[in-house]
Amino acid sequence: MDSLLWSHSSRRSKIAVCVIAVLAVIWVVTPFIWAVINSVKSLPATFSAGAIMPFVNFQPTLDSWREVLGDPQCLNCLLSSFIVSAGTTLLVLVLGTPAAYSLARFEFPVPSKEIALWFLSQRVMPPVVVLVPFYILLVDLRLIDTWIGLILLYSTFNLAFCVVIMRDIFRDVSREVEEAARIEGASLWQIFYMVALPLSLDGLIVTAIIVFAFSWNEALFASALTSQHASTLPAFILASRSTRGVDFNVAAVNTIIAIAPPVILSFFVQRYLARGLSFGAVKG
Amino acid sequence: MEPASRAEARSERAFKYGMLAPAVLWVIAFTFFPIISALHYSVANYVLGQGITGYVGLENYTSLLRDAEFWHSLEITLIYVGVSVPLEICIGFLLAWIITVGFPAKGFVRSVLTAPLFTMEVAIGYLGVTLFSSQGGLISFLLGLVGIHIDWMSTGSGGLAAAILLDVWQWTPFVFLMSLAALGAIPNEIYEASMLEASSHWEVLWYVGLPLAWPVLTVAILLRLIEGLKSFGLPFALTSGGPGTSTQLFSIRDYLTTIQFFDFGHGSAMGVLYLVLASVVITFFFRQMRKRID
Amino acid sequence: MATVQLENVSKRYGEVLAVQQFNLTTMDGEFIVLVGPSGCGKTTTMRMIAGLEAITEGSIRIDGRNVVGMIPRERDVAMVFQNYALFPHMNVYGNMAFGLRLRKVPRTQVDAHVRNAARILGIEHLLNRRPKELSGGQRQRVALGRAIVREPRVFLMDEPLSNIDAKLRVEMRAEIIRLQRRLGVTTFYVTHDQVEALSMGDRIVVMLEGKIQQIGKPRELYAKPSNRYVAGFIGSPSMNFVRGQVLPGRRIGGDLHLTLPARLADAVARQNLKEVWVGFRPEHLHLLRAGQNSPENVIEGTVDVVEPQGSNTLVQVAVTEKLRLNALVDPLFEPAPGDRVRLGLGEEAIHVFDPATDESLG
Repeated sequence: MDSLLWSHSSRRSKIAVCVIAVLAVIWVVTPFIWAVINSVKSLPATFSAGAIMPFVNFQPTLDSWREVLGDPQCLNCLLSSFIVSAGTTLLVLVLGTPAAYSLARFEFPVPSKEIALWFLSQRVMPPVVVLVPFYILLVDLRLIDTWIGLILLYSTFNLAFCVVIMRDIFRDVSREVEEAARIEGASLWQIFYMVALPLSLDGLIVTAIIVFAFSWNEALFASALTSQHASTLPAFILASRSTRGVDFNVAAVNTIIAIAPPVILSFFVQRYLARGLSFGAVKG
Repeated sequence: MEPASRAEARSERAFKYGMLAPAVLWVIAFTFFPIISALHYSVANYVLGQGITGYVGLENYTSLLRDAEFWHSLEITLIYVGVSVPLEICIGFLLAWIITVGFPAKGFVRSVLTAPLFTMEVAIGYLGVTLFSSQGGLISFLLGLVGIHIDWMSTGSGGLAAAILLDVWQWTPFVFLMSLAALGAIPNEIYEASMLEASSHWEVLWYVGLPLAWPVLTVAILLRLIEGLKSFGLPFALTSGGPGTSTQLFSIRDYLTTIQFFDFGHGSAMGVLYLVLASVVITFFFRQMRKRID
Repeated sequence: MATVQLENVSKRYGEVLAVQQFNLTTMDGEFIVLVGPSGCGKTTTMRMIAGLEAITEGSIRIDGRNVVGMIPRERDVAMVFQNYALFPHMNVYGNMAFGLRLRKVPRTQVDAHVRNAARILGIEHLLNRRPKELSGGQRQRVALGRAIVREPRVFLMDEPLSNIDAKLRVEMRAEIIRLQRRLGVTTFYVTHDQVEALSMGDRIVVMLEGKIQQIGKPRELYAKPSNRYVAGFIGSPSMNFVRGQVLPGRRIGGDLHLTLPARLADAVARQNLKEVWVGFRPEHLHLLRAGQNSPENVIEGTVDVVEPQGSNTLVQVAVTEKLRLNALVDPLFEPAPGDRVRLGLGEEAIHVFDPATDESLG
């Protein structure tokens, strides 16, 4: 899209834009590069920050990687993170998608937009407020240090994303197509299941990725409510920080393992992110 | 498509409530009751190993309100949010504008700029410890090249500044994406018409882009406020609230009270106080913005 | 194959009455066209037959069964939408098979029905394609295919041709008529285009603001419009209307001077009208050569605008400063702007309307 904004701009403006873009990219990428470099540095090389380029300034080594990935605790946490995130995503989609459809298509005594906002308002509450009650609840249900315990809690906080995003997506499904299905004899459930849902697959994927990422990254409950068995990666990292102190290399490896999955996933939802994250604030 | 009969209306009602109910009930179950429970604990005296030993009325609250460290944590939180959010808004919007203007490889740049949003806060915080370290940290190294020497990790203000910088790094993409959506919703003809009159696209940004995207920006401010006030992972991983309590944001203090000291009584009271204060702040902003938009 | 009977059907949205007192009984296999401007209630009426809108008052019977209160599925009707409403995520086969599959029809039968319908519409080669790969005309055919495959009692078509380009539209019109005649299914067809209505309908229902203005065969609506609205709506270019005073001796005066035929003059006299609307179609005005005498009414004026249209020429003639008439004349005359002309108007071509009620007096 060669817009007039670019083609009609003066040379100076264009350069300014490019410079800003380059600076922004450098700013964003620097921590990643720092992590990658540090993850392959040997211990002595670590404290000389001037050793930037592998093979040029220093000899890269996979020692830190072996150390971290060889730690069964770490691997267990990695597994837990995957299972908890996937489980939360599934539960959120199952609970939230029908609700979103209902809010998109039907009228309620309260305007459906306000109901959607009510879901969103749950996020005003900081997890820390309900830390005590959840701790007690999980203890009572014997769900402390279990995957299910975390999944139950995470689903609560992430339901809002599903409801708000999918409601917007469902509203865009053509009413005429749904009416055609009705005439052909479909029941309300069949219209949802056989027409609306297949046509909203894009939105489901975006929602799934957002929920997965937020579950993956959650630290507070993870470190407070799990210990040995169901500890997830964020909890592991917080623990690493306190036990190992300032270990550059381990920190780097941990960071890369931690941020890789969601960041990679984010590249797949590029097109839809802007819209999904605007929570229906933009009519686009 | 309306129901054509009373029977159809009934089955429609069953359908729409049936689809909505599980999600609503779930949220109520997992938020309403916990809040009641939090209130319960906030007026109790909890001792580890014994549970609730007695009720103390509002004493947990009053002792908190008399606690200088409590107010300090609020202050730190407000500074944190008060600096990071405006920065995120300005930078995010600016970046969205340059993408809207367009330049070669803007698609790639857009993907890159979005990435920080999906990173794990505690991992970034942990990484930040090494980034800002005085010995061998990249930031210190680069600043050293131009002769600047800042002690990030051993002072309160340094730690807070580092946390804010990382927070801005992570959350600017959020504003970026929302601004992109807002600027993208403006019809192309409007850009073209204004570009013919303006002397540069910066003028179009100021006179057209910003005003038309403002409603969405206010939503972004609100959402960042909501999330920012409860910041935990990033600052905690970076500084653990230290040195001492100099970077102890509200959530960190509450977390430590609850999990380290098992003082459920005070921990819950803090949480409730937070809820009240945050709701007030947010409602205030929400009303202000509603007025401006409508 | 069914008769459809609408009795006193009304639809109210809050304060607004979208459809009032709609009464119609069709014959088996009839092609009924509902025509009128946007907002006249034609689509609402059809949606009530389909079951997509609830009826406020009245009853609708299909083959004698009152379908009010039945969900669309039970009514056994099929609908073709203006934007086709094809399921984008299914191929053509899936679109057409949808209704049958929902009814748990065995697979072999579904296949037979779908292929048969596809053959009738000439879309067998498209069965594996998705809607987005099809042209507008092809999508239209698939929508028709989906409608006929279930062999429903009634077809409902909501402006199915309005998104098709002009040339293809004429072709599709003929195809739809052929299809309907072949299948013999009672059909309701909604359009805002009166040319389409006249060319397709067995009977036409002209609607305005929720009320039926007139029901009749195309010829009737053209020759005997029941009120000024129908007279002006049917026929293109539309009828000329002139206000005139009633004068003795079957004469009308004012901007135009005309003599009415006896039957009309009597009707006017019976109603004791002082003023009337006079209407006559542009195609009934013919140019008189200089000096040519005529027993008809003669109207004199100056040519204002000339629009050649091929087989006819549309001429706008200024009779007075305020009164301009349209005439559709033989292009041989080659009238030019500024020419003084004389137009002949036969008595039988004159319509008279009551200015208070807009009703036709004959």
